[in-house]
Amino acid sequence: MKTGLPQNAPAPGANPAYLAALEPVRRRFIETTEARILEIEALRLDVEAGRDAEAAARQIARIAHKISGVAATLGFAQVGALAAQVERLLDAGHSGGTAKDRWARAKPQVESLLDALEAVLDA
Amino acid sequence: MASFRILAVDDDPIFLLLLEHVLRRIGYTDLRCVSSGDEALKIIRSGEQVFDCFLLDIEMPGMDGIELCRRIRAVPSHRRTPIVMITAMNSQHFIEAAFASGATDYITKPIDDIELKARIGMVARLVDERRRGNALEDQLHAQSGLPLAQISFDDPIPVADVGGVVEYLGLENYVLTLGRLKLFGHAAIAFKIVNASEIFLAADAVSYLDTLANVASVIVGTLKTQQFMMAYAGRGEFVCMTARASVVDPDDLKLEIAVRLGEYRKLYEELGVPLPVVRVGEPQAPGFFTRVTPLALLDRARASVRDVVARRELMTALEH
Repeated sequence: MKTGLPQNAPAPGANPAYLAALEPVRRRFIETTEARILEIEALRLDVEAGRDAEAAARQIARIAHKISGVAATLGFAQVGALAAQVERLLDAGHSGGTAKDRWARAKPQVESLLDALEAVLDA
Repeated sequence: MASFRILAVDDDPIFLLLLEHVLRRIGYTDLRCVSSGDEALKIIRSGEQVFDCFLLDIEMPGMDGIELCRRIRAVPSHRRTPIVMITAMNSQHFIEAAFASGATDYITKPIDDIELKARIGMVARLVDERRRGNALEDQLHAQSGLPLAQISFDDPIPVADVGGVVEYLGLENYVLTLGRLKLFGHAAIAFKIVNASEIFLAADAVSYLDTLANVASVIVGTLKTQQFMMAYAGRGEFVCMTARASVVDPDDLKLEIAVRLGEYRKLYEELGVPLPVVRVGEPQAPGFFTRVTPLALLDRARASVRDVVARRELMTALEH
């Protein structure tokens, strides 16, 4: 495991009572996760096939940005950390190079993020 | 807690839902959420609701949070309303631009209620103090017909409409975001209107605020760089953070400021207000091996200009 964090560990400082109070938000996050997995999968095919790869990579980064903004607070620290890595690696400003170059660097993290998101569905 | 209405702007509905829950947990229930800058501006400009604080996500498609911040600041009724930016940990490089656009503070995603409570608590106290000030002002005005804008000599009053000049709290929060290495690349320099108290007594509130804006624009014009952030700190003092490399000799600055202010002599005479006389402190830069806290650097700059003024007064006294 690349981040060294246990699967779906609560955010530092988060406690069960805190997470219980956020349960409606957590539920909503889980509900949107399946659609996000499917969207990332479809965009991944576009990047790999070179179909408007820049736009597809940017959209994956955008989805990752949204995930990383909330996941840790909702008790999915590993998902949040992986999403932040994916966003950074796919962002042209941070990472540089063409969409293909950035994709090559980000691919293992995207795979790990997809695995972690699958695990969220079982949460 | 007095009513404290917040407008939050973020393009992610889940983040807004989370924000609503976390804010409610820490006692803030009067929240309106919108998903774009355009929508926010429409509501703000319509005046249908009054907001005490704005929470703006920096990275949004279309109009980003920095542009939205700048546009909110251009709305006269929101020149002083606290604006707290929300940024991802990955995106701290946006912070400088956010402060330059008039942001008061920022919080990072993912949010936690301890940080949010501290930051929103700070701006709520600020709003509360201003409300008390406004209530006192209304009371004084009703009783004695004193000028409507009641201002205090000691307070860091925001100076309006001068590019690069932000609220003092914004400047403090900005320097706090600079790490030790980044702080090393900066210098703080303070300017003092030595006859500020005379001007304060001779002018009404509006003229005093105009004088501060005039002095601020003159100082800005002498800095010879766009890379600066300045704020009025109260007691006739301005503090400016600039790149260490673009610091100009304080004596040259003092002379140029005097010449430029001299161009307004007639105007000040007509107003019956003394012409401002400005002294410049020694630029204060952190040493690489000495630890200085960011806020201490601002204090050191202010202490330096006070020292310059005191030495000058002593020399004048000795000459006589």
